[in-house]
Amino acid sequence: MGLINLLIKHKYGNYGLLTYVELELVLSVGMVLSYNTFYPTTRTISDYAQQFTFNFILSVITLILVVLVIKNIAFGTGQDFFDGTIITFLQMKGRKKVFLSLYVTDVIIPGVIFILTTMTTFYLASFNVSLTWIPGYLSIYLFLSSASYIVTILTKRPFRAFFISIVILLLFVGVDFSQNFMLIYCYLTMMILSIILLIASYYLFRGVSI
Amino acid sequence: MRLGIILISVGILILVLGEISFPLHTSLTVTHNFTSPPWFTSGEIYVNNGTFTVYSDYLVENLTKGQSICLNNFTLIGKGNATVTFSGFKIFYTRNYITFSEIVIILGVVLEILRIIRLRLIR
Repeated sequence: MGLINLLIKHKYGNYGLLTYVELELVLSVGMVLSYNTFYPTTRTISDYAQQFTFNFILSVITLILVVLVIKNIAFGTGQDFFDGTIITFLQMKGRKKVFLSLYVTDVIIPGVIFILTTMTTFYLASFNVSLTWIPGYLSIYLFLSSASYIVTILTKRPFRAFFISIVILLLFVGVDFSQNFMLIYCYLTMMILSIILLIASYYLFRGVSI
Repeated sequence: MRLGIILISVGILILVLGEISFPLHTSLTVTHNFTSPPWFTSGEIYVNNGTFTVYSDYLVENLTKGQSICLNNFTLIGKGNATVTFSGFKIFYTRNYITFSEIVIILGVVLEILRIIRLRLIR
């Protein structure tokens, strides 16, 4: 817990997480608002067209959130690799603990905050949606952030990693919205792929020379 | 990481988002019975043809072709063609959000006071 606290202070500062909480609350309010612009008289999801609209809104909001997380990974962890600041953390703990702590501070804390704030907003706004939006959100989120981790560890430069990650994100948007690949909509496949990418980035992190 | 300040700011944000009404206008066409959704603060009914009976809080009125009325909560019963234009969109329309934000703000204030007390004791 000590390393995670140190990393939070190093990455976000004292009030950085506050910005994330407020921004993600406002993003979840935007989900309800944009759903009601499509269907003004209802706040429940009953048929296929409404489910499709909600999935579209959710994927757009998730992509906005993923850009923030890619910024965290590329300009936070990538800058640590470039400067050699990561040697400080590696001297404190082993490589496995440092990697897991980096992953928790970069990816998991913003993701969990988004789930909590969105569930709060949906409860307070009486927005009736089944909980299947959580795996749909997590599949896109974890896949893109794990891919960004691999790119960051391979390039070890902040701006190059950010650029390549954004290119991957735009390719994903093209594949996602063209609907030619039904693979994207299979949440389980995306989750397994993201876990495979996470394990691959862990082994890359173990073998990387700093 | 100061959890108290995060809780206070989330409470204030929920309170503000519940109080303001967003400038979102939508209009829809009604052909038979219709009840206005509670998340719009006001709606203007314009009857194109046919007859409708509108029931509001203490008001029952018959509307015929060409008449229009502006109400906040209403139920339309009848047959014909009417255009309803809603304005003033509210995110949190029940009173739940006030209780929730009060609890969150009080929790945050208590956590901050505990932190100040702990810092004084250490010093």
